Amino acid sequence: MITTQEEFKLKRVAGGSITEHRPLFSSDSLYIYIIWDDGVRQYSLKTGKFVQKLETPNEVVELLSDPEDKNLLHGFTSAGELLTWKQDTGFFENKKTLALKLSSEKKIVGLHLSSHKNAVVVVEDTEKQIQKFIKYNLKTNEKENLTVIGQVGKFSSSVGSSDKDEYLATIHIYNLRVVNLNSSEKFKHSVNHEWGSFTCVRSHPKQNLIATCDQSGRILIWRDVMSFQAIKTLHHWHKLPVSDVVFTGQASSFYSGGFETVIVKWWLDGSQSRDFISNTGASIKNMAISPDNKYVAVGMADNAIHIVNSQMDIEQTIQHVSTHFEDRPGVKPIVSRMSFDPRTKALVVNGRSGHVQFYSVENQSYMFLVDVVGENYLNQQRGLDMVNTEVVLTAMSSDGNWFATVEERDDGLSHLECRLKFWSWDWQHKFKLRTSIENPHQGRVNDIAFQPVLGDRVNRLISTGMNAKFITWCKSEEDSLWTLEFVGKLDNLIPRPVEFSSDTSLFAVGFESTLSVWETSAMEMKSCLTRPDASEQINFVKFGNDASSRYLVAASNSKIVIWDLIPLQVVKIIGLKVVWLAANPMNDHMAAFTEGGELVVFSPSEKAPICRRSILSGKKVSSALYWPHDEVQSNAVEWQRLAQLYVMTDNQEIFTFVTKNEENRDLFNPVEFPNNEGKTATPLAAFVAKQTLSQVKKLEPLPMWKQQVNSYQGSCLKMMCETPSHMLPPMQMLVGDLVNEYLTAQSSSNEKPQEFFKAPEPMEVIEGSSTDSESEEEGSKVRQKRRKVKTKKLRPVEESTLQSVAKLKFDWVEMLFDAVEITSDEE
Amino acid sequence: MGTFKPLNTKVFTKTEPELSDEAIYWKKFTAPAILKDFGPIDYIDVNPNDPYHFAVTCSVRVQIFNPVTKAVYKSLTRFKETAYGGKFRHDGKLICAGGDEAEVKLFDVGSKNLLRIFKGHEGPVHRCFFCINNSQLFSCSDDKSAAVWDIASEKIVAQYRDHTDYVRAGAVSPVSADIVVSGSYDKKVMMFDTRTNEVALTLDHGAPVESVIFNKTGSIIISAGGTDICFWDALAGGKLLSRITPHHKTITCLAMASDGLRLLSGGLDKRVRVTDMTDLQPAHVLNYSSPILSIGIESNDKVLAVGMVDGLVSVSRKIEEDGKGKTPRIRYTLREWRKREQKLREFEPLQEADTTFTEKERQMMSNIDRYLRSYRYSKALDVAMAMYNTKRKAESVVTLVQELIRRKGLATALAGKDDHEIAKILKFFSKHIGNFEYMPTLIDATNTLIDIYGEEINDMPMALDACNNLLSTIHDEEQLTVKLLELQGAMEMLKIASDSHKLAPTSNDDSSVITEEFPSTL
Repeated sequence: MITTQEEFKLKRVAGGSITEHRPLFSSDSLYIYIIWDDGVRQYSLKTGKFVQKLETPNEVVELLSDPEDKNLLHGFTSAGELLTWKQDTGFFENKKTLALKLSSEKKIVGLHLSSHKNAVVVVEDTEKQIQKFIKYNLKTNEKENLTVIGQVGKFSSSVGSSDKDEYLATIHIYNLRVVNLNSSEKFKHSVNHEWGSFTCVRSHPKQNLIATCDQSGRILIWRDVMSFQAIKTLHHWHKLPVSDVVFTGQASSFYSGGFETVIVKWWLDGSQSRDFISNTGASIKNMAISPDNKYVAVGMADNAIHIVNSQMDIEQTIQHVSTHFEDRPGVKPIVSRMSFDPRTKALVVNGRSGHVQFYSVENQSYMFLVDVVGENYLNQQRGLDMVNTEVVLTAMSSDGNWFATVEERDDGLSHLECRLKFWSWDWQHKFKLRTSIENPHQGRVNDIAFQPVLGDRVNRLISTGMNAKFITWCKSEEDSLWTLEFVGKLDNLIPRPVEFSSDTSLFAVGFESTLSVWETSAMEMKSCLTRPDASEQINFVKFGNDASSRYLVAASNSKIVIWDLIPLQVVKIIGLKVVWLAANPMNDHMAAFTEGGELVVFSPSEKAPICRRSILSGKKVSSALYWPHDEVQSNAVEWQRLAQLYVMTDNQEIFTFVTKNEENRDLFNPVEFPNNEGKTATPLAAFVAKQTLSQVKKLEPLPMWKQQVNSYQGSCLKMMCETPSHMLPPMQMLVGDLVNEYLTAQSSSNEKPQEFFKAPEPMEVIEGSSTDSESEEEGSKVRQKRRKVKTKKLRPVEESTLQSVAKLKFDWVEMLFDAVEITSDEE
Repeated sequence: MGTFKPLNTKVFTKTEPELSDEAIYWKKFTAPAILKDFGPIDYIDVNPNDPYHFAVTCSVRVQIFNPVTKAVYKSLTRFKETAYGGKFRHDGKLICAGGDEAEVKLFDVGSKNLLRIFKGHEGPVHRCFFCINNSQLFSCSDDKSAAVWDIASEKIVAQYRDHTDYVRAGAVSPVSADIVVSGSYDKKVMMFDTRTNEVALTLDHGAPVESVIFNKTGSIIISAGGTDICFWDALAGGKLLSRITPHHKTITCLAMASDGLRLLSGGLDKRVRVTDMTDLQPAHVLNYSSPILSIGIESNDKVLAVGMVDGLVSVSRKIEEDGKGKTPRIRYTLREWRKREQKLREFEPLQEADTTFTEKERQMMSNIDRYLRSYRYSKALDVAMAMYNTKRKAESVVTLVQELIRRKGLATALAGKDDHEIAKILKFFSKHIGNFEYMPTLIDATNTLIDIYGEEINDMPMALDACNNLLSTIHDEEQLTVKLLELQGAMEMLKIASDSHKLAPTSNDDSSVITEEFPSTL
């Protein structure tokens, strides 16, 4: 094949945090604005659904509502632009670029707006690890350096106002510094060093009230901060550092959240009473309150925003790709490989700790989470390394009926917990747990693979594990229980990858550096393939499809070895540091991803690769898969016309490869509402009928075949035409009648042929008109066919043959059937 | 979200098979009522007409019971010796019965009058049936003959002396008045045609035949004897369609149920097996207290009566689901009942409010979960141990211990216990450490316990005792494992020896390998 160097780009399909920045409620408390990807997204609070996207030229770092005009929404970008939209229409109003003139190492991270058109820009110097605050007058464009703190962090500053003055509150280790924005007067308040440094500060927008949180989980409420004798009250429930706090409008209560995964509501009436939402499953990153105080938006580490009402119920959840966040310091979260669910057309990836999420690529939206481990999420505790059970492997059967997961918990102190679970699709419960196998391999499970379903519905799964064995699991016929079927091993080598061939007759297991091929039906090893110089462990095994079905591809750390299974020879060795190998189910292509971010698409039967591009540099590929298209995509990249390649990186971002043409439009066509000419798509327009009575078509006469059928009253043919095929008696019982009838019809048509074209009865006209156009179209085809037969006159010889056939007895047919049944029974 | 997930003890409990639709069907019978009679229950026949009275033939009488009240409706006692095989006519008005008197007696059910006596057999008559024309009787006798009688004249129409042993089973064709079938202790099943007065078919069952019936359409003869049930094609010359062995002891009786879709078979193994007639696969099992001799079931399963050797008759009725029968009473738990009462008392708010608040439902959880949720690990362990002492639920303790290990709270939970408590825990460990499912958890837990109490255990006499006990248990376990491993090794050697001839040498010819690299740039 001639390799065409097509232009294609990497496109992000899913991933990216929505909780990096605080969300913002609209002034009418009906919507919430969220910063995600390259824009601001508006979601409805009632439904939790996406409403619209507000385009932005640069990355937005802060969302603010205008202090004076309630209908304005501001977005502050990293390039120092203040964007303004109208909240009710979503229209872009204007852009104001702040003349800040910053050097390259300085980065704009935030903005505070006070009510008097005074803005405080937060600039972070990444080299010196300091934050700089610049007061900026939006009217006169004057700027003034306010203060510098040696602490970086999203929430280490806040702007509030007292009766007469506005102030900026900043925290620096053990100090709370307050700067009067009008007089530039500075106040410094310190706390005991034993308490740990401050983590965040939040001031009340109207009252002279500041809340600070620290590493030890204490929350201090400061009153009267614009004096040197500030009054502080202590609120201590959190055991872990607090991430964010938010005051309610009248400062009667406040909410806080931290690493405990608990949302706490505190009352400031001196009662010290608290309300909680516990077991939220992820630590809390930030909080925002709606202007009418009814809702609090809580940004979670698993990329969800919970909308909590004042009764402390979670009313809505806005969820994007549920990320498996890093909860143990220094331990990278496990990202399981992607699988493809043909039933929901979803990518299956692990979500937040212990969960598997289904992500619809078509709608580019999160669908649902399946709680795999069924355990409470354990948050970190001081001095203890808490280890949660994590989903490490998933596999989906090719028909989407069965889903297998492997979960693991290894804290290095106690025994390893490992479970293999089988889930089946259930219309009511989505996925229902059917079988759970404790510790199937007395250690880690390395790989699992379902046998592809091919008609006969044998459900089988192979797992390989650290006990140097592979196990085949089989579903019992009567109930949905999975039991052990066969245990295979090769010396004491540890099996890792396992893969079935596309026709399921063979499966290959990579035992360290040895490749073994087994026959599925007999569970016998057919061949054992080793190269003399092989020392590397095989990480991936794939059977070729289609034209390359005789090839077996094995990838180790430094090379891909292609075996021909018929002579059992190595055909080719390709030197690539493969981190992932994916096979296209629709043709014989395979995609290998290398350590250096290179993508190599090749076919085992061809010499040259189809495509080789360094397109993923800087990204760590954690898994990839081919997603079969329903129909050939002619716009797509040459090698992606039958199936789209998706790649997931280690931070759970999903990418795909698109051509220039495709990039302009969305990868999947957005739903377009049919728009009548001239009419706008207003809600009212939907009520206007598409057709008016005067436009309804005149009733058409019955199709010819139906007329003909109608002309035989009570005939066998009529029965055959009108009765559903599954209700008809056996064919052998109809043959005699039909032949007889055919003969009488023939003779009668000879006598009076005009009967075929008898005018239909009025009753049946109505009946005929109710059939939709599709069946009529089909009917006309049948009619044409039938008419050919009908109008053909029989020759006398044929007629006499048919007569004799009609006289024959057909009992023998029945007997023949019986005899067949009997012999089959005997077998 | 926001809810505490309770401990999952299912991990360590045995899985139960899922209830099949068939099992649910057979569970929808009323609780069986037990009737007691004197001798073995020879035969039960259910009147096919409402209210489905059933006739129980036992010792010297035939008793007809009402299935609803379970009271005796009629008792036919005109027998000098043991009666056998009381069978209703299709309209339920007449009943015929054989007996040790070598006669067949015909009774009117309503008046209990003895209408006819058919004399002519030379041995006890065990089974007799009305032919479908209702004018003839068919009887099977121990004189090795089967006979067809004319009811009106009390005369023998035909007598077949082809069997060579007692004829203890018989059936009449449900479609033809001329076809009768008999099963004998000579292991043969014979089909007679009264038109030709000849044996139409001879079927070799292979064991003394205890029961013979036709299927609903009369096309299949089903014979039971020994532990086998044979299905013979009555139309295709007596071809053996299938042979099943549902019981492990002699099968004594057969009955068609569910309008011909199910076959019930009772045996001396105290079980009634339900076989699906469409695929002849076992569908369900009903267990009884004694070996079963007879089954009577209404053709639509309205009444099921099973007779046993010790004179017990178990009667149950199908619960009607279409509302015609008795509606089952809803049983509420106290909590549900209170909730329902509260709901009834609640009234609709007069006005639509801007926001309505519903009362939050409190999550129900066990004591263990409650303590676990509030991080009171020691208390949770105490509760679990107390529950173990009363209910012997080892799995809940092990699950809790596992959860505590997960939460890194086992040391906290075990600390501060006294001698007695530690001894109890150790006793629990030594009892269950041999269970392979619990072993990893309990080994971890034992290690933690020894870490905590290793120093002080010498001052705790009871705990020390329990500790030594545990030590010896572990020692025994080790010994057992070693022995099992030895056995496994020996077995594997045999297996390898038997497999070795099968393995063909694999040849890896690497001489023709073409090693090539892709060009780095294209």
